[in-house]
Amino acid sequence: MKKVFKILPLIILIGGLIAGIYYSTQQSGFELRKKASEISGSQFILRGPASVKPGEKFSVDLVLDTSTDPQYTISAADAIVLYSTNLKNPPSECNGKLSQCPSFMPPPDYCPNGTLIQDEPSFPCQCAPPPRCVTGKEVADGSNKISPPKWDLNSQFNLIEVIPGKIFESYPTLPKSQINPRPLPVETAMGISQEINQKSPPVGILPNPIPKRVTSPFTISGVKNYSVTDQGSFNGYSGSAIFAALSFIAPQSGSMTVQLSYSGANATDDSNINGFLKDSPVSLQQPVERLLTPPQSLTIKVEMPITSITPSSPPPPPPITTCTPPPKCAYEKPGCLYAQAGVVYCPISPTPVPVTPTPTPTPKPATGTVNAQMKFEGYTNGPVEVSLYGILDLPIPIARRSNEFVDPIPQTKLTMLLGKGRTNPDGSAPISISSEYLNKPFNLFIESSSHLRKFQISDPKPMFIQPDCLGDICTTEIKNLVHFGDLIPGDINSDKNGKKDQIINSFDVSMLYTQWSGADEKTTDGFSQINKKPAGSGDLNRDGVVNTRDLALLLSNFNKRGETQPVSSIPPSILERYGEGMIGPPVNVKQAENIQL
Amino acid sequence: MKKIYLAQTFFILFIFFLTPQGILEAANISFTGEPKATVNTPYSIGIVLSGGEKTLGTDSVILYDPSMLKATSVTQGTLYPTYNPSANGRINLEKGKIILSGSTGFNNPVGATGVFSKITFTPIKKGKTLIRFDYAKGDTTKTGIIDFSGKDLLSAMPKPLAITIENESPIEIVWRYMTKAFSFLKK
Repeated sequence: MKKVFKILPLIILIGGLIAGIYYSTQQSGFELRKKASEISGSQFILRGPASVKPGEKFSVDLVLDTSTDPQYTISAADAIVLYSTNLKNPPSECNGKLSQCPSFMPPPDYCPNGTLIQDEPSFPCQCAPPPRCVTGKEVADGSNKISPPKWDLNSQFNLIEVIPGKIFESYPTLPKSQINPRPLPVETAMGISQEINQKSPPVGILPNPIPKRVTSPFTISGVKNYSVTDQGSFNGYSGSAIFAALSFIAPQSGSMTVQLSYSGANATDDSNINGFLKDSPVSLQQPVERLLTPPQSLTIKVEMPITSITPSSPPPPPPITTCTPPPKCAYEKPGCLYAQAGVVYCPISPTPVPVTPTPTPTPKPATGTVNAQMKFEGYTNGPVEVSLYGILDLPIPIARRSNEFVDPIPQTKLTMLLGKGRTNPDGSAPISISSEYLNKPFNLFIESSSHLRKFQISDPKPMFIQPDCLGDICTTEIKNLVHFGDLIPGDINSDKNGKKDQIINSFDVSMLYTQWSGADEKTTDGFSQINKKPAGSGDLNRDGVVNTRDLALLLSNFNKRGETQPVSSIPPSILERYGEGMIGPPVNVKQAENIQL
Repeated sequence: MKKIYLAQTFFILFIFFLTPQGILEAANISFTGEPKATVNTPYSIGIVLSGGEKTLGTDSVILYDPSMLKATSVTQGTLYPTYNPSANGRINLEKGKIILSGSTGFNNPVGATGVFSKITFTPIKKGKTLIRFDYAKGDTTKTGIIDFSGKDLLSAMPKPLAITIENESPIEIVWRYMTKAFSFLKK
């Protein structure tokens, strides 16, 4: 009996091995692996050094790996790179501890023809200023002038080069990269304007405390040339290779994190990898997101602080431990954001404001018509279906003083779909609005299936939509005329619910190619006979076909984003922090404090 | 004599500035092919771009008489990296219509010089017919050579290709039936 117990584990082990081999080679095993790849998808992997020295140039490789995604072939990818910088806090703020002062090591070309001089701080609690570059002539003649710095130590950006990989034929956000791949200075690489690429506002606009992690998003897009096999499936990319190489300089000690923006597998406005099924004709499918899991971030330690740069510089001051923190903003109150001196932004109440029904003198329900007026870039003659939305502009609750902070609830959105309409050849679109939205203050914006969101440009903002008739008296006078200006075409893709991602990126390029018109005639319902798909959103100029003219429109608007707020409203920094529609209008601090409870 | 020279100079300058730049710079699209074809014998034509201008892409819409010709294949050239639609969507046999677009990617313009595509027909019956580009100035659904700003570089109707289709000779008919019956003869 003992012998049986002894060999039992061995039997179980051998049995398990046999079962494993059997299942892995059978159909079910392949299916399991297929399912596993469906779950894992393709990957973006960041590779770089674990630690670097201050001032040292180092490279981080962004690798695109499809080895875990064998069923798909990749058509395009967007990587929104975020990197923390340890330069954001101004040197004068040590948070009361000298040990938190940054130490600076300028890059090699900072002072090529001079001598670096490290000055002492002006006050005991201040950090040492950045080193000065003094030329030999200036030292000799005693003028001791500071030469113009070639490298701004307070600059937010320490990404210095982006070198595209060889996976994709086009890297649209990196100009000329395809023709002549070469390192690009950041200023060039940042050339395509992007809302989120705006530098953070200068210190003083943001309230204390300054966010710990200040990031500078940077988009790298790669697009494969569209070509199909004889079977009609897409000739995409499979494998593992460098998507782009990023070169950084870490000017001061600390740690630095590089990561990719990722909002989820269904989001298309973040980092994404677009692919088609390998074994299926591309005309029968749409590009799908294959970046299904959040990419791992990369943290790099920047060590070896520099305290003395030239032998002639004075020794560093002894550490002082009795510093007092820098004085706080005089306007600071917990719970409110101080955008500028004297102006405070307070979150609106998360509780819905009671809306009194509009008095209707007649029994039949009143309706209103918004006469939207807009222009479409590259538009020819076809009608455009547009949707009118309104953001309810609620006032700050009077009873809520600025120091009574209620945490906002981000999911509470006050954006409403007010109505839909179809444009006339002159760009006007009468949109019927139901009675419940009349006489309320709305900031209006408009969208179409292929255009970016655009807020109203005409006053008044917010707008109170008037009813068409007062009682039984109806006039032919045009009421509620709203101008939206030029709508930008190119945002083709939307989710199952019709929600658009408000960015024109490589996903839209892939979508446009799949909607390309063929020689077949379209049926009356607008569906292609071959593809059985609506001609719709890819037809940017609304001439009835999707062709090179639409591609030209899309490429000219690549990387543009839909508006997120009405013009002259809330600063982006505050909107990003609290979310869209959650901030009330600015109120003078004194006024807010004078309100009697 | 001086007056004549002066007048000549002004005349040349006048002509130079009056000539529409579009005509001087325009890219062109044209057919290459034999003017004669034979019934039931494969007949190929080429579509060629010329002018050399930097382009984003070219949309070609070609019309032919489906009672005289039957399009059998549309082969893309190597001028552009991307061609659309895929092979099964290029020909409409009922309408006698062929659509093919070539396009390039970002920041990589393609010069309008070279073979855009090749089309093979099978002539159906004896007679004269035309193969032509569907073109109308300003119409974005028809043939055009497009630059990166979306401008159409094609400013005039391209020339059609006139074909005379002749009947097969008796020997050709016999040979055709024989190759049908004994496929090894084709080799």
